Amino acid sequence: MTSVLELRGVGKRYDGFALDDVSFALPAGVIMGLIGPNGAGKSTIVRLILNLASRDSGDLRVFGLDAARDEVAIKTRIGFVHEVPVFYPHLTVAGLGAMAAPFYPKWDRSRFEQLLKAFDLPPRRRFGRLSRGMRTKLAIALALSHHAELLVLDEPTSGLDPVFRRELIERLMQYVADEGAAVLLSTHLTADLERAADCITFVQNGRLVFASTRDEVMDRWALIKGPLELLDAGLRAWLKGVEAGPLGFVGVSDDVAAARRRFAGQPVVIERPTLEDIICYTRPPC
Amino acid sequence: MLSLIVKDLRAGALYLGLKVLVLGLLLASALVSGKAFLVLSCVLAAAAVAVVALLDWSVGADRFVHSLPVSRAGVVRARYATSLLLASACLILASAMAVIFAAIVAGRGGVWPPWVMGETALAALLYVGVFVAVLLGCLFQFGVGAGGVAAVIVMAVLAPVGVRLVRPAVLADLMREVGVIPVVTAAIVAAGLLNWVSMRISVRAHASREF
Repeated sequence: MTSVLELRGVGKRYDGFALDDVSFALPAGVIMGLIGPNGAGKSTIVRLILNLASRDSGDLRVFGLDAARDEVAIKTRIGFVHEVPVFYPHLTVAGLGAMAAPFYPKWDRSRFEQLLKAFDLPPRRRFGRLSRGMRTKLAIALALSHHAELLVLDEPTSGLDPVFRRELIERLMQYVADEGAAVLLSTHLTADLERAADCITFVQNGRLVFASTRDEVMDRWALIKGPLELLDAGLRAWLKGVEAGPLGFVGVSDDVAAARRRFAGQPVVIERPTLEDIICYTRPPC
Repeated sequence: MLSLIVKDLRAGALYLGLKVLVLGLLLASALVSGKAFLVLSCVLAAAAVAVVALLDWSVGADRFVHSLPVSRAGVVRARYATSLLLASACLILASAMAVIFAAIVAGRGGVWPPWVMGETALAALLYVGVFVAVLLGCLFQFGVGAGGVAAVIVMAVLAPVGVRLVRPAVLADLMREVGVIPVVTAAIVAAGLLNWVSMRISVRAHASREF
């Protein structure tokens, strides 16, 4: 499959934070969840893709083009939603659509109007008078109205009610099916991804933990619960993010087969973890 | 670039409208004095430029604008183009008002006011041209906070000297000595060159900015 988006050894250094040697590829027609705790580097990756920040090292290609050098050609084909959508507060919803339209050769006015209706967005309401959720809906409507081949969405579901979050995920899946587009969905609301994402990329402390298909992740990782008597130093070192309490220990492993072998015949429960479990149990110690 | 200019004008339309209205009234009341007319014409043009220049920064729309299919250099060039267009439009409006006023006065048997002359408009054009170059140069170089302060300091240093050197009377003398066309051409070239240099510096500064 051709990659719509490809990062190879991408690095970016700030005071107190560094994104280091991040590599992954996003093929066409795929929804990729970009997960990680706050401050892991998700938004930095999004900003590098949109050339809002310049990378210090590595290669970042979108549609086979260099993200920095060919930014105009690339962004014509990208739909974006930022974590906190900010537009001009005195312009109306329809006015913002009219402002964005000339920038995109494939702008689809009728689709924009349909989306405004579907999202219950009053066209004549000023942006400054929209709620947080409505602002995000408007940003999503703008992103979906020019037949973008890649959607880069940074926390698009935060601030949205669960009903619309579900609707949005369904719309994204439909969009991918209709347009053959790729979606990079950065979020910490991992339940959305368990329903929609084909691939998961997990970053933590600016480093890539894994990038693989959702099924591979779910099949490979294990949530392990057992009695405290088993929790010796060796097991502590072997498990990731082990938590011990009066009722026993809980931790995760990225090798379910090894876990099954290790705990064969022992009073241990091995479960399929959620993405949230993986994020929580692999977080670095404070 | 045209899309960016239209975006700037569209985004600033409401604020521009208000300022044009308020300053237009002030301008109309100042038509009896040539000096006040010149000052207020420049203030009107400068205010329009400042509104457009500061709008993206003040509402925090930078990230949105730079996520659109535009280059950093394109954003800078469009900002200069919009500012100079707006400044010219404001000065043309002010000049038209002055000429109408003078024509009415002269039509009623009065004397054509001596300040309603080309040299006044040319002086205003130069002042506003310098203002655009300094304001945008400082904003793109240092950002909205420090850049605004830097622009005020630079203007405070330049304005007294500049206004003394480039008075309408001085320009009138020059036009008499050298001719109208060479002086107007030189003034436009000087303002254009200053803005071109300022824009080159701004493009370089803006290229490394992050959003």
